[in-house]
Amino acid sequence: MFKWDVQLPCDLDEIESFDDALRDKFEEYSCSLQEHICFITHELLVNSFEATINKYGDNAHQYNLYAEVEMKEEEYIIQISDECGGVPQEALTYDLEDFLHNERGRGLLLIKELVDSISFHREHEEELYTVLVKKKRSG
Amino acid sequence: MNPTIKINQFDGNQLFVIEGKLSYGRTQPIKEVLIEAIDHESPAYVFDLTELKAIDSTGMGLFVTFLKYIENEKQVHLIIQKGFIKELFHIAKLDQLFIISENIEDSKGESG
Repeated sequence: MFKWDVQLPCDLDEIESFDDALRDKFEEYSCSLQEHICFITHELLVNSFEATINKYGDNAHQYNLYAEVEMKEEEYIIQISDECGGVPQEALTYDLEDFLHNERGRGLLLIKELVDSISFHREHEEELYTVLVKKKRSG
Repeated sequence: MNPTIKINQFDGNQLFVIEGKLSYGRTQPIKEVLIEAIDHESPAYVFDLTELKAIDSTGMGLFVTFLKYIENEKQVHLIIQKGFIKELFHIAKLDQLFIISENIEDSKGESG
């Protein structure tokens, strides 16, 4: 079991390095859901990256993204945070079919289908907005 | 790891072989090459994704964009062996738009 808590600069290369490191970490544990967890983490980080770029523009590099990935006995817990105001509530009300002919927009809906739960949280003191997902290890 | 694209022919159809990781921030050069290279005389199109290491939702969107540049009735085959990538296309319901096969020979038999 492990817990990995990292702070990343808002930078695509940093996200890619984290993706690779996370994949390597799961290789050590022969995790059967490695692809799922890496995909989910990557998608959430990219969402946070894009939100940070959209909100802060040229100053985005001054902001961080936060990733916490935990493999427990029973489940995986992934938390990705940024300082961009959170995900709109209606984001999960769509169906993947609504985006069938769209190039973008299906990432969060794919995550919803892959996990057991997804929720949004706000930490008022630090102005951090977090997406929390859980997936049972039994798959 | 930037993805690569090779363009060829298979069974009279235009074949695109994409390798590497097709993900956010890495798809634009592939998209530009792909759109520029479309052979509009090709009866169908085949994407060999056998050596694709990983894909994200942005990478998946590349294939949806491709459909906007070809004639509606033409079939597009995706050759996918990696189980998780195939699972993603099915979850996204993109198997409604593409014919997904496990190897390139199967794509010949499913050409309708």
